[in-house]
Amino acid sequence: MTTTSLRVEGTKLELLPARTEKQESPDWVRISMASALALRYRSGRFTRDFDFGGINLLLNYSSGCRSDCSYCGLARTRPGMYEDKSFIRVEWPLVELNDLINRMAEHHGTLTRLCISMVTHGRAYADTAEIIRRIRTKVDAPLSILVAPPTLSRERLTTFKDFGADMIGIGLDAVTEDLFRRHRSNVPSGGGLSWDQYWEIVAIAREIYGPWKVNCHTLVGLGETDKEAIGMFIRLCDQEIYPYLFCFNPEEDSRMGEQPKSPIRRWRRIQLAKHLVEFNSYRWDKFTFDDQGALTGIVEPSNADQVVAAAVASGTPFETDGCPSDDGGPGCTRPYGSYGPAESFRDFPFAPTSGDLATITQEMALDEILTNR
Amino acid sequence: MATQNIDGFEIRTDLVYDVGAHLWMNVTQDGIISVGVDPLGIETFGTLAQIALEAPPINLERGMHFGSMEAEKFVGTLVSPIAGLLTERNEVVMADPGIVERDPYGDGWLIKIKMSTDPTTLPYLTSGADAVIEAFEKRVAAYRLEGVLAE
Repeated sequence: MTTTSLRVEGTKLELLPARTEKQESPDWVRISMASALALRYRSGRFTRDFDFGGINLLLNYSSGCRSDCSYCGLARTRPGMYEDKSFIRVEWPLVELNDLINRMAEHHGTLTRLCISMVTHGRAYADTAEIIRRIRTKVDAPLSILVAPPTLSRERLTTFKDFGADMIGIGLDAVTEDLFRRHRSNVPSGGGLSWDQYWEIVAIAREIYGPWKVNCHTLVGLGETDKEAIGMFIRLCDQEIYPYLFCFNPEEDSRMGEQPKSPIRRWRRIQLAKHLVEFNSYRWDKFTFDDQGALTGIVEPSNADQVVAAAVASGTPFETDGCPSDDGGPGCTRPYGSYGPAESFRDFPFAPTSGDLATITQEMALDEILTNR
Repeated sequence: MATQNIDGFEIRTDLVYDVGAHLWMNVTQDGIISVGVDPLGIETFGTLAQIALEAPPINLERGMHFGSMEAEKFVGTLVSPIAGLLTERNEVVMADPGIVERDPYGDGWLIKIKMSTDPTTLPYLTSGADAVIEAFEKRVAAYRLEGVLAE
C-alpha cells in the first residue's frame, strides 16, 4: 500500500492511503469460471473432457445491477455485497480487461465465441462499446452481446454492430408477460423492467442484425406451462429469432432460491419440442396439451422419415443453446451453467454420446407422448 | 516431516502415494492409515464445494468408492487405494471442504483405514523420497501441458 506526504510549514504530514481505484468496467470485467479455466486464470478441469472456447464476460460495477429479478444471483435485494454475489451459482473471477484481451489473443486458436453480458447500469452502454473496441484491436473471434434493454436504443445497437458484434442476445427469460411482470417488473426494489421495452429492443435488434442473428433467452421453471413455452418458441422462430433454452436453477438466497428446478422429464421434452419448432418447422398442429397446458402429445408423421426419432438420435436437441462459432459449430456452450457437476447434464456442451442418449431417452419417456398421425 | 517444493506444490516425501488418484497415505498407529488428497490434486480439482464420505465401518477393497469431491466444474470419485476396514471419516471436512485446501496433510485428512499390510510394500503405490519427487514432477509437467494449471 502506498502513502503520499505533504510538507506544510516544515511539518511532514502523513496522508491517508490514496483511495484504491474501483475495479469496475470497462477496465475490469468478470469472466465465467469456465472461461477462467480455459484462459488459465484458474486451475481446474471439467468432469468430462471436451474442447471449450466460449468466453463469457460480465460487466462489473460496485453499485451492482439495477435490476432485481427474482431468480438472479445479481438481484439488488439478494442479501450480500455485490462483489461477493455469485452469478449462476458460482464465482465469476474479476480480471483486468487488457490482461484478458492478451490472454484471449494468446489462446486465439481455441476461442469459439465471445459474449459480453451487460447489466442494467447507467454506464453499461458506453463501457460495453469500449470493451468491444478494445477486444477488436487484438481478437477477431465472433462476438455476441447479451444486452440490457433499458440501457439501449436503435443508435446504440447499431454502434455495437459497427464495432464488431455480430449477434445480439436478449435475456427475456420469462415466456409470458404475466410471468415477466411477476419476476422482473414488480420487484421489491421498485423500478422493475418492462416487457414492452424488452420486445421493442428485440424488434430493433432483429431489424439491424438480420435473421437468425438475434436470440432471446427463455428460462424453463419460472411457472410457465409447456404450452406457453412452446408458444414463445413458435413466436420467436416465426420472426427468425433463435429461442435459447435455459433451465432454471435455484440461486441460494434469491427470492426463487427455494423453488425446485423443472423435473428432468419435462425439461427433456421441452428441449425436444423446441428443437422440432426450430429445425423441423413444427407448429401448433404437431403438439397436443391438456387443460393445464402440459404437453401430452408430439406427432411423428407416419408417412415421412421418422422426424422425431431422427432428432433424438442426433443429440442436437439436448446440446447447449448458444451462439455459434465461425464455422457454424457450437460457440458458446456454458458447461455446468444450469446444473452442478454432480448432476446429469441439463444441456450438453458437446455432442451427447450413445450412452448419454440412452439416458436421455429414458429420462424423456417419449413413448408416453409420441403419436402417429 | 520431509517436504519438497515441486513446481510450487509443497509435497510431503515421507508418505505413500497413489499418485494417479492424488491420495496420500500415512501409517499412524496400530496399522491405522490416514488417507487424504495431495496438494496437486486439490489444485486441479478447482475450488472445492462439497465432500461426501462413506460412513464407517465398511470393508473397503482396493478401487472401491469411498466418497466424492465436487468443485465448481468438476466432480471426482474418491476410490480407495488399499483394502482394509474404513474405521473413521473426517466429519469436519464434510462440513467445511476448505480445510482440505488449507491443510491437506493435516486437519484435511479424509478417512482412516485399518490395514494389516504395510502400504510401502504394495507395488502399485509410490513411496520413498526420490520416487515421490519423480512421480510428482512428471504429473505436474503433464498437467501444465494439458492446461489444467493456472498460469
